Amino acid sequence: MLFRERYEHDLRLIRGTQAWVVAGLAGAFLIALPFLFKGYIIYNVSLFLVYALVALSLSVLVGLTGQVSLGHAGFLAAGAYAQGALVDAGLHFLLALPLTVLIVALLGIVIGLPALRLEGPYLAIATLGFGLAIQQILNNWRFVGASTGMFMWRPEFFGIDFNSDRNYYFLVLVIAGLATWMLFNLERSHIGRAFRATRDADLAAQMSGIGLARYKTLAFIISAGVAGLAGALFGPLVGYITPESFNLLLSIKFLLMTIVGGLGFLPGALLGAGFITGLDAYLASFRNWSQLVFGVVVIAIMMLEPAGLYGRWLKIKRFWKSWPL
Amino acid sequence: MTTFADFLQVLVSGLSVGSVYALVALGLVLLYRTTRILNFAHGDIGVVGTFIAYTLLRQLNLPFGVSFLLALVAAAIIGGLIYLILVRPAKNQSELGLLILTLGLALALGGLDALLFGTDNKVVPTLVTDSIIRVGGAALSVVSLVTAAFGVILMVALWALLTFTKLGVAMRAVAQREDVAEAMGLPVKKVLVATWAASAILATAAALLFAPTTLLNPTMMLDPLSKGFVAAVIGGMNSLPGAVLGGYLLGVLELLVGIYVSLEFKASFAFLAVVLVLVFRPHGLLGRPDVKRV
Repeated sequence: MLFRERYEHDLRLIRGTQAWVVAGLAGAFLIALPFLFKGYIIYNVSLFLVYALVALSLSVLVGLTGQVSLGHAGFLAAGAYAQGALVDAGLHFLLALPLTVLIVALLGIVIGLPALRLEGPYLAIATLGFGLAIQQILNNWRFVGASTGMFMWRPEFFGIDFNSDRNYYFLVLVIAGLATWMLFNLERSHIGRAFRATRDADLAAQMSGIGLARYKTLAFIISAGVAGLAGALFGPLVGYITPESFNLLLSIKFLLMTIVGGLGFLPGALLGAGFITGLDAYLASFRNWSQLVFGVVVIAIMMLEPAGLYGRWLKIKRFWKSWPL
Repeated sequence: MTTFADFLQVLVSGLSVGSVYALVALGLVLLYRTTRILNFAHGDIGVVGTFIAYTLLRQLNLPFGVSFLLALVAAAIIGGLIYLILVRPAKNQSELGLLILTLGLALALGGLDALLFGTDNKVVPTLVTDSIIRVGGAALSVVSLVTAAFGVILMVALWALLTFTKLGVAMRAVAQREDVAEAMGLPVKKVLVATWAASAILATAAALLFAPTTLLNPTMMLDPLSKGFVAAVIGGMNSLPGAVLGGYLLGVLELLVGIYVSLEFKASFAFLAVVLVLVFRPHGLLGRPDVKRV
């Protein structure tokens, strides 16, 4: 489906046969993957799933609502540490998970409320400050191990031991899949439309009866909650977390994922997360050259394609379908 | 020792750190109010300039002043080239897209530094040999005083450039309304190149002043850059006096917090301060809100 011609098209979760094929193939591949590849690749794809969740959450905030965040590693850190502390306190993994999401969503309110009055560079620097402040606080908080960090154990329930990379991969896949489904549904609901209206013209949205304060804060709450969920999965995946794992560079990479993938498109965030995580893993073998190449790739994408990878894909599709027009 | 002497000592070292923050913030604000770009490559441009000065000083054995001046010239050229080669032809001209472009540039320049010069720490000599002078019981470091003085001199020079020269007036005109400036016959492209060059000079000057107190390495400017951003935002992103005020305020307050509250809290103070200031003044202390046409 090239253009959305009717309101019903806009309501569909997956639009057109092609999208069904892509979604089906991607799903089948993700399920078959642990049986086809070795541990190293399974680990990296699990990491991609976690990062994709953060990229999606950031896409809701930046792409749909138009509020920039340069501190999303802070929410990821909060999620990882909250989950770790709750599990250490004796809570079951599955019980700690929703509690973690709740805690980080509350943190989202704390950041979202002052963010209401901020825009542009002020919001960017305030969120950047938030990310760095979280890192500093964790660095000095003895209860969570200060700068030495803390161990996080993988759970064991329903008779399944999630210590193996393959089993944990499936746990991440199920939870990340559910959260992704929820966010895609959110985008096509009235809330998603309110977000987009806020982004495109906040005054006009307000005059149409959309409570700006409510929806802007809601975007922060949802974004923080999903990033927190990603953090809760991230911790046990890597096994050992320190405040240094959630540095500014990680926040920057999350923002890169959403923008390189295509700002304002949720599938773009998935694409961007795959691209950046893959590039990172690939460049690890380049050693000294990796940072330079990474920077050059980012510059090239920004210089050549304003709509990102997903935007380029849409353009190619449009070109073939409407050729020779 | 009297409390006044203590206070004087803190004030001078605070102002010395603050002048580095203020210089970084000035460069950021100068660029932002003209081009609407939040330049995350600012620190790395400064580091490149400092590496050039270091190379001239150590490899070619040029005298101190000459190599610093040449480094500033090189920085100006690099700044202008960044605008002409990367920023102007970029297809993504949105505020966020350009921000990401500078992030990519920061990574690329940092990677380039690490490749060319290595990641080890290098000692950059100070302009004067450090000694302590005593004023009314306070021990003041000469380097701190000189750093503060140089910061002030550069700021005055920028103020003079913007107020008294044709180029400065044109810069302010472009900052106010780019399209109208172009319609009035101003060479906007040249002015923007000059703005990038001036901003790069400020970045390098800040890095050169900062380098002796830490050591020279590719990530040296990470902390001053984030503090410079905070200072710029506290002062107001479109106000040059605000950037100076923010820089000095942050430099002094940070030291006071480190001494009287807790040393651990010192590092995160700046980021809590920025949130606090923005809650009450969403456009900084001296910044003015952009008037939006509906």
